[in-house]
Amino acid sequence: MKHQRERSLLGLALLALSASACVGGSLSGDPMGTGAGSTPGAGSGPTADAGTSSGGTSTMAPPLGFNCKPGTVDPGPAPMKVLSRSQYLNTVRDLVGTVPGIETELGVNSNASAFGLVQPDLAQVDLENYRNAAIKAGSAVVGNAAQLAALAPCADNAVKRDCAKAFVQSFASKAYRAPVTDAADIELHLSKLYDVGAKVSHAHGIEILIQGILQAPRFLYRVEIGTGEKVSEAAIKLSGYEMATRLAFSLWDTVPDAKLTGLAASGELSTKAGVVAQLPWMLQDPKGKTAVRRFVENWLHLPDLDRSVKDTTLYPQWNATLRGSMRTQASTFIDDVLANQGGKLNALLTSQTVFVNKDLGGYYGTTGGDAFTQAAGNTAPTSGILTLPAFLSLMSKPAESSPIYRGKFVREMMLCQLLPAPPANIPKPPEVTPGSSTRERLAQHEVSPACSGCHRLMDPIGFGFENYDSLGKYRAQDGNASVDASGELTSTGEIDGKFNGVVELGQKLAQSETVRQCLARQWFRFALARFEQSVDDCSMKGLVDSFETAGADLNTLPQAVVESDAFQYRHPLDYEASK
Amino acid sequence: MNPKQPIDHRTALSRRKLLGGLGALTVAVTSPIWRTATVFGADTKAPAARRFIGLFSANGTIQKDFFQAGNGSGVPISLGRILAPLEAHKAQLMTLKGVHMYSTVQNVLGKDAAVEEKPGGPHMKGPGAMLTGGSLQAGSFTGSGGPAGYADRVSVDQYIAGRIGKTTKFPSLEFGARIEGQEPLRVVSYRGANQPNIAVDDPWQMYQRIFANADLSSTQLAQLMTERKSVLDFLSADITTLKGRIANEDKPRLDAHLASIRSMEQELSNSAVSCTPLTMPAKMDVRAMENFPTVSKLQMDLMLLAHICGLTSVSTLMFANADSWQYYPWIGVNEEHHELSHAGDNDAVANEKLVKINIWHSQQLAYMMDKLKATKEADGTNMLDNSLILWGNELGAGNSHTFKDIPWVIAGGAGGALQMGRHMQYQDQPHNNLLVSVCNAMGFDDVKTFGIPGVCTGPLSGLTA
Repeated sequence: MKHQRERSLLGLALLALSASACVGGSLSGDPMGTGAGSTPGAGSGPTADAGTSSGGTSTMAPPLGFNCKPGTVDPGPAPMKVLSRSQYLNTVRDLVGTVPGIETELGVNSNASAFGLVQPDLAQVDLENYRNAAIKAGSAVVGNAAQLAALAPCADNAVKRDCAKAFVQSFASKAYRAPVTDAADIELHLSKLYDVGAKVSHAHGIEILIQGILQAPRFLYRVEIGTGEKVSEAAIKLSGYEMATRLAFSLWDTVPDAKLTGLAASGELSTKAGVVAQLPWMLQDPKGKTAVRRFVENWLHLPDLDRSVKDTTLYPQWNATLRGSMRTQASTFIDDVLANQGGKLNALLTSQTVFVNKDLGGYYGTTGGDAFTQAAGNTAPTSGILTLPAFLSLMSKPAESSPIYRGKFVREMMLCQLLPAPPANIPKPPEVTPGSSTRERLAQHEVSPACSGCHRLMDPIGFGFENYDSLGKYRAQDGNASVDASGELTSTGEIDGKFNGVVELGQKLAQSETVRQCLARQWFRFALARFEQSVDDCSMKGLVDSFETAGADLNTLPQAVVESDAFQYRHPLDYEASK
Repeated sequence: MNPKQPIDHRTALSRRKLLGGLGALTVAVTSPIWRTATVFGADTKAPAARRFIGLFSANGTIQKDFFQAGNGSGVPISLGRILAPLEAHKAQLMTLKGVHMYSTVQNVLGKDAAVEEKPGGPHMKGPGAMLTGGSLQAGSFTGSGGPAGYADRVSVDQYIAGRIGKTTKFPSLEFGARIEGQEPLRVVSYRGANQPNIAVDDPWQMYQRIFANADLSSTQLAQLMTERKSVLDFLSADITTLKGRIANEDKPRLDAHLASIRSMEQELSNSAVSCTPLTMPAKMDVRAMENFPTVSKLQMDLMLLAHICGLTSVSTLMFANADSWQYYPWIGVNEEHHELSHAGDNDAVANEKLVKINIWHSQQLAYMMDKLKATKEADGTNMLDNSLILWGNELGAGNSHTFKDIPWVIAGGAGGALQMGRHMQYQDQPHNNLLVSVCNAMGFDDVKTFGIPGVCTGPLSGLTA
């Protein structure tokens, strides 16, 4: 089962290479295969099917079509997910208010994959972290009399245990995203949690209740049971509360609020039309306004910026303030594209708009103030997200740029093509001349046949970014030489060809149907926290078609995915077993 | 409690507190503890417990400076430049050449696997295989030449913890120093498929984990224990209910969750003993490049202390993640380790730096061996005599990405099970066999195979005493 879950990741397009593309080293002697099953999990996705038939051609782009039989309703799998770090933190904030220090208690969680697509099973350390965070949350509530009274009101003459019971019903219902009504369940909370704490005091009993509820599997995992209402052999409807939860986590990154829960209770979310009708107000809500921006930020891996390491001898300015400014600059730009530039993918990739403050003014030949303002007279070539210092710093080495990381990002995250792994036994690399530029050093990849097969898919794209150093600042020189930012796109389908510098690269990418489709795929993964598969072809087709129809306006993505079968329904619980 | 009970001055561990029952056992250990400490709480009549410590360092080695020359096997060990800092311990040291991580490229039949069956780049495959004798699952991690997921089976430290870790506060502890970057570069310890034990690389967090609540009174601690136990009961009950309602394919996740809850219960029921080192230095940025040696030192101290205090018998320590881009400015290496490791064999300058890096790592092992040796067991032996330290790497050499000739070191007395002080030269043996030998040396003679069955052919020959 677990293995299948891993295998199911491969709705992704893997770049199939010719036998000569990645030669040398691998034990099999035929490193990436000649098209015979070179895609892991072949057959599990549309792209994989196409990949296996491409033997002999040098490379391939993912196919753009979807195999959707009209009338088919298959929502695809919906594996149980543990709350992401941000979902956890937002939820706790919505449940109990601000908890100082809770992020530290959670430890340095692994941010396994960009959208939480791969989740390892929870280890003891994880549970200890959750426990410590829950303790922090409990003590924050109990340490604040007003907060305690608001969450767990109890009149002076009331029976304390009755107050605790009312607290379980209100608090746990919100935490578990479903009404807690079962008498035995409530009693379990009281006997195992409240009663042991109440030996010390009533407030301490409430504290232990909070601790326990915030560690409960029902809280930590997103559990869906569904209803008995079948839509097709493969699909059942979700309960109103489950739908509210999907909406809230997808659009808000947190639990449903009172209004949404009320709508679930009154049955408003039992039809597709009813669900879609909630989008306008949910996206207008402060939590929803940032949904698309959050997606773009995660897509670019920007939340990892604080973990990015730089050589502070070369870059003494690399500190939390600068990183914070880079993040704010990025979010300001993305918001501007979404609000003022039609939300267009084209603008996201090519816009000349730049926001600066005093930390970043130097990047653009200006000074900048305390607050971010739009930079006038920007002298550095600019191309939307592709030249954001936050993004370029992430896609760099500690002391130098990285054409590999940058090219790899374009290949994998913007074109949705997966690169083959480097071979196990590579021949000795050629010697490197000291003092050479990054580009010169990487040029060995082109000379060595063992390297070139894979690196020619990354480096020539990444070279286009060479005008930007390890901190994403424009430069005309690298080492002793002028920067050569000429690059080439290959194996992309319609945008293949040479280009010079990132501005031209941005224009090419913005014209690409492959990139538009990739973005829609990424949104699907973000919104549903799973990879698309062949059974999702109808959902994907609907999503891609509406994105195209809207002229690649990112603001239309939320509704497009909410309308899909993948979002509206789930498999019956016994579906996998029945196959 | 009788205040006149004797105090063991060698360790400043209070026997009074040991006998005082649950909650009363907050024990101060003088720091530095290493001046001939005695293993805490050990029974003088029983033979000392065997211990396993797994060590990882990254990016391969420089073979000619690591392994001794000549083809002799079972010959007295002779230390080259890299291992020279271990000279004082060479009687309790063994190097093994010709032991390859075939499990990264072979299938259950012991045949070369198709590439798509072995996902991940070489730097990713190595840490996943090093202690598991397995390989990576398919997945979406692409940081280092993916795509791949986590490893597909249990690692040897966790196997051992499953057999000897039931009575200690922690079945095992996973330490790291600056383990960064993409998964699965950051993991060598696995409870099972897709069950990584991601190491804690913040010594202050580890300190909290190991020595939490040391400042509470016995009454407070007893109440805390009761509450924690009751919360865990609640969580177990919740899992049981939930498991009855969800789809079958989701149930393994809850089983894994429940197993982790059981470990926490074990931690509670064995927490009567806690040692507290007196001081931790002021908190520093554990992710800062230049703090690597300080963080490493603290993690080594905490790890050894956890063993000495009887809080665990199994641990691993990762010195940086696989594919490490750590700099070593304190020894004059101001370049990325990984970048350096790609230098050609004739690049004398780069190779000299790589040798320096590896020498530094040998010094760390020497430090740990010094401390373990200074720790007396109740039965008169020292803790090093009873420990088996396995030091491995994700690659044999960085510039060829080879999985062959991993620079394996076995250190410690291994309870007398292995004939130490020798260099072993094998003809293309799978490292699975080494993992079998490790299990056997730890006292589990029933282990005949480890990791991918077809790859493993039984224990390595000629190792045992």
